[in-house]
Amino acid sequence: MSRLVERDNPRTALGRETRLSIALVAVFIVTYGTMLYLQAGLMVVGIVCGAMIAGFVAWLRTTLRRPPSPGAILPSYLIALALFLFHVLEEYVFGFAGRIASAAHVHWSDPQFVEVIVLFGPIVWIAGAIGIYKRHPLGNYVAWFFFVGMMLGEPTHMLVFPFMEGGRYHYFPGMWTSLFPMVPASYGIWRMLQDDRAAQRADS
Amino acid sequence: MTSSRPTSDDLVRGDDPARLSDRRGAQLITLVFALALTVTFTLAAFVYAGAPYAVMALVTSCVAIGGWLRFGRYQVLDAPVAFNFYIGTLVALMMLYSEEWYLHYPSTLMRYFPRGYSAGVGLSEHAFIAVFPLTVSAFMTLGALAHYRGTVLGQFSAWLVFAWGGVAAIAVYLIGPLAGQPRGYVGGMLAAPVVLIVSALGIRRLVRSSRGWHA
Repeated sequence: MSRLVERDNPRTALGRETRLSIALVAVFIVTYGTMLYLQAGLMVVGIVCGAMIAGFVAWLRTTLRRPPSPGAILPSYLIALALFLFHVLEEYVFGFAGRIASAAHVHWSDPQFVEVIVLFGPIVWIAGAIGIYKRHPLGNYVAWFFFVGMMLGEPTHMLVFPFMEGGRYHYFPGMWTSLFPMVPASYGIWRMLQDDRAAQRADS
Repeated sequence: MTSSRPTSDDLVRGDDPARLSDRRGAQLITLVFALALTVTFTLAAFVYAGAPYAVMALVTSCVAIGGWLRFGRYQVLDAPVAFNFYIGTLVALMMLYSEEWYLHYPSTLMRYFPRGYSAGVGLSEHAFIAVFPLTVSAFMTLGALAHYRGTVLGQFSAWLVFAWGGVAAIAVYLIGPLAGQPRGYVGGMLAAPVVLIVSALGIRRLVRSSRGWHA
């Protein structure tokens, strides 16, 4: 109970759990970013780490102390996650790793893509649903990272990748399913911001 | 002489008729959906992935439907009774798929059960990734939403996920002995106990949250 009060009160110092969550997220960003850089090069890291850092900043500035209720964001999170898995399926089936590696002049094999994007990433994102359900700060960060990632990263399949390969505008693996995760993600971001504003109004 | 177990009529006698009718309609739809899923997935597994996967799909479906019919209709609705275990099982399954993929589990199955595969049938490592960590996980994530909303379909989804977790975990230990090769490491043996434990806890939660259990 006291933990909840501490978390809910914006005037108190950050609780131990929240500070630990911030430290873990900082370590996660560096670790995942390094792993991705070693495998896929600067461009993929720019997209993924950009989302991680933007999500981190948004999280620190808004819902860090008061994670939103699961009813507000869990449905949109689960729908976005399912749509994202279908999107990764399209990428995987049509050889995204090889094409992006060739366009960015790096080496990124299919097995490396499977390790980082198909297996490790989804483990974190699926587990994040428990954090959201429990209103844990870490779960809330995962939601920010995921939603921001969908908004920043997915349009690149239509706006950036086809142009990188040159020639006439053409299909790039993952293109047809890239925009759909943005629909629930945009709603999720809007709900988190709305909840945060409402909480701030209630405080003042 | 009256039965100690309440009928669904006893359980919902206090509910209003419209709600009762809605619930029965949802149960009927879920049951027919479950049967359609069983037939489709079992046949698809047999045609594309071979007999071992067809057996796993059939056993999973039978356990899920049996558990849901036995306990699901007594379940209190409007609440996600086993959401943490549901998501925990999905995460554990991803770990199991990872280990199986690293250690070529689909090829091991084909090597152990050559007669279970017709010519041209079998799941490649590439197809394994497309089917299990991506497609199956995506549908199960949508099932998590149905479960979170406390729907009848969500109840069945939970039974299906826990049943699949149990079957997939036990299978890695059974295929060696069944193929006459009881010794030797099969990809998935490290992660399987975690999947099995979380799935079993999920089933326990579903059973205990059923009103029929307490009757």
